[in-house]
Amino acid sequence: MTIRVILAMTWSVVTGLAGGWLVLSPWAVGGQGGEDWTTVTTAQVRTGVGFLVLAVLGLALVVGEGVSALREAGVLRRRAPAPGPWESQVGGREEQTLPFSEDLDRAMITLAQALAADLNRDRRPGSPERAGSLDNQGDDRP
Amino acid sequence: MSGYVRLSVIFLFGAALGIWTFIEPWVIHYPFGARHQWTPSMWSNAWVGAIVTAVSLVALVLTVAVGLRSAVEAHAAAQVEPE
Repeated sequence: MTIRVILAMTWSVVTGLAGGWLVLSPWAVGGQGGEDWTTVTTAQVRTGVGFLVLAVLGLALVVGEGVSALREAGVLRRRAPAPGPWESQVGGREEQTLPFSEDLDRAMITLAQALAADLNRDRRPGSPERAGSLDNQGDDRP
Repeated sequence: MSGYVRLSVIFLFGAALGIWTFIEPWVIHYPFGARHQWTPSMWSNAWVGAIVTAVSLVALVLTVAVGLRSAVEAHAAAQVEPE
């Protein structure tokens, strides 16, 4: 993997530089004087563009390999494909809401535990909160 | 393995384009200088073609070698596993 990436990147850089030089060389070495392109200029520019395209392809390959390696390592997550019109809406919805329902379950359990603890505390006979609440009830009565 | 094949194809194209760049002045008949000397355009094409061809061929050989070695290792590992 590493050897491939290094090779492809080095090759892409060399090829890209060569292509850039070939595109610019008719003007850099003084071969292109007038406005109309000579045969030499046209040939060199075409070849240079070909080199540039190959260099971009090589770089794209390297980036693709890097992304796939990161996905295999678990650093990047694969994006879930968008549900097509032929897929049922329910299936897609279940996939999308799965993490949300887990969160909801966790929140409900926490809430239930907090309510149970609160109820237990209120049921104790000498609980000041319960006494306070009874006093308040008595005050409210006319 | 497919990564090695894709890279090899790209390097092969690079080598081919490098060779074309090298021979282009004679194929397209670039004008020669005084006393049939090479013009700067010819030198430019020859150098660029030689460099890109050399780099592409070296990269191609290395990629094929590493790809073959990894394929042989994977084959050997697959044979050992069932036993």
